Amino acid sequence: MMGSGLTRRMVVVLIFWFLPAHVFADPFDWLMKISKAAADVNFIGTLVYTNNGEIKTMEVARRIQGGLMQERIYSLDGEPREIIRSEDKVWFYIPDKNMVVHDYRQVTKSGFPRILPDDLDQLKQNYGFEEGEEKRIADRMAIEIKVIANDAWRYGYTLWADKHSGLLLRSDLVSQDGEIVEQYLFADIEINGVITDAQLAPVSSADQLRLFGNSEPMPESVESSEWSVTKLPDGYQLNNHIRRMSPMGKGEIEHFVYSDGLSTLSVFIKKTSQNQGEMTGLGRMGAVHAYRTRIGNHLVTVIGEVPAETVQVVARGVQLNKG
Amino acid sequence: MNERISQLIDQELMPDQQVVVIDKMINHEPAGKTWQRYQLIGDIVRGEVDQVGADLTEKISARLQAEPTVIAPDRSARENRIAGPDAGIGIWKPVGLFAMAASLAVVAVVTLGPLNDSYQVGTVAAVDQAESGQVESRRSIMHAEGFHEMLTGHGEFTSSPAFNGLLAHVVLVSNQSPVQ
Repeated sequence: MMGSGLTRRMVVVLIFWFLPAHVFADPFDWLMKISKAAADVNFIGTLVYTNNGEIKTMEVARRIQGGLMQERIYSLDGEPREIIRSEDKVWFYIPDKNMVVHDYRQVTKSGFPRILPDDLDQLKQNYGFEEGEEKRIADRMAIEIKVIANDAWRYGYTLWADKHSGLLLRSDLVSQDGEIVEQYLFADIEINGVITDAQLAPVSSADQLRLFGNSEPMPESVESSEWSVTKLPDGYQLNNHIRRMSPMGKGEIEHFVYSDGLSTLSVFIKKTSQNQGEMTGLGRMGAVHAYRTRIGNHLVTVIGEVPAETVQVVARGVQLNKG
Repeated sequence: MNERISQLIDQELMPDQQVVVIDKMINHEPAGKTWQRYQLIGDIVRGEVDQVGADLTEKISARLQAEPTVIAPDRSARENRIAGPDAGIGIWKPVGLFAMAASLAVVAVVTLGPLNDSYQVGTVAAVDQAESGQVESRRSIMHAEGFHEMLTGHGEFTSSPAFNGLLAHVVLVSNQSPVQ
């Protein structure tokens, strides 16, 4: 039984692997193609990010070579900051602060988040899907996919995928009342061209910057925890539960990761001394809401690209198990 | 007091008046104003308030150095954070991801003073907004120590099909500010 299910899944994956994107008609198929393209397609382009009335532009280049990803994000306005990412490391160049910061990525090469056929049932419980019209974006034809949230605990998405490669060309995060909370849009893009080493190299000279870094290795999975998250909106499931040392040298941080198939909620628990006066309450940056509260001598922080109510409810449901 | 601070920033005070105002900023404001005054001090110390001259910055720095609870870090704790060497560039420092994150988002201005002393002011200058339910900007938890470390960690796990964790980094690179 398990074998036949596995075979069926492999066949589905192989079909998606080899067929050109434009033959897909189902919105689910398009979601999978988008997910696959994000991990497999080389591209370089200008990404426009709009949020809360602010417009930011940046150059993004990604190359997949030998199964390994390299990526560069470079801000084109404001301070010339850039991020270089590889499979397991990330470098932040911040010339306006005269610094480079290095850290390990928490998701390893095997942990590329993708949508697989098994995820579709979970997605259907939480979202409705519609295929929209074709539209020209960044001088390419794109297919519109509407992902409609079934309740107010999460945002919906309107996605436009490149008709041929499946790469996402535009993503709108949409609230329940139809307001665009956040938007990413490629203004121009070259797909599956040759990405040179120079295009992935930082513009900033590291010689001129001071280097900061996190020497802690990759986080470890949590086998047992004295914490539990008792209140979750329908559809969210625990995807990861890790523990890592704080780069501040202030002890461990426990990290629960929940997903409804598209949106992700993180619950961070960090031990702290009493009366340090840490800020608590609600905050927002872009589409990200965060809520922090104190339980005893621990700080509980919930972060997600979800409405404010969602992070508040989840945070208030975090409990220290007595035992 | 606010008027005096404004005059200080605008360089409208005589040198002796500047010292008085600086001392008041450091020592005599009500506790509830802690966050704002340290933010301002941090802005000034780092020269992020354009109008302030170098001499005034030096004066404030000198006053702050006489206030170890305000800005001077715990050196033993700091040394514990020193990261190991890696391939090549520069000298490793103890600040770690927190400093990176704060810098990227340009939110925790106070936390990025002189780099070695970066996080201490933010730690001291916290304001409890427990259960307030208010989304605030300069006083929000987005300024809190360690928040951007968590934001980055969250972004790496995002299951959005869009860019495999890229979007969280885009927000950071774009110098996005917390919502006003």
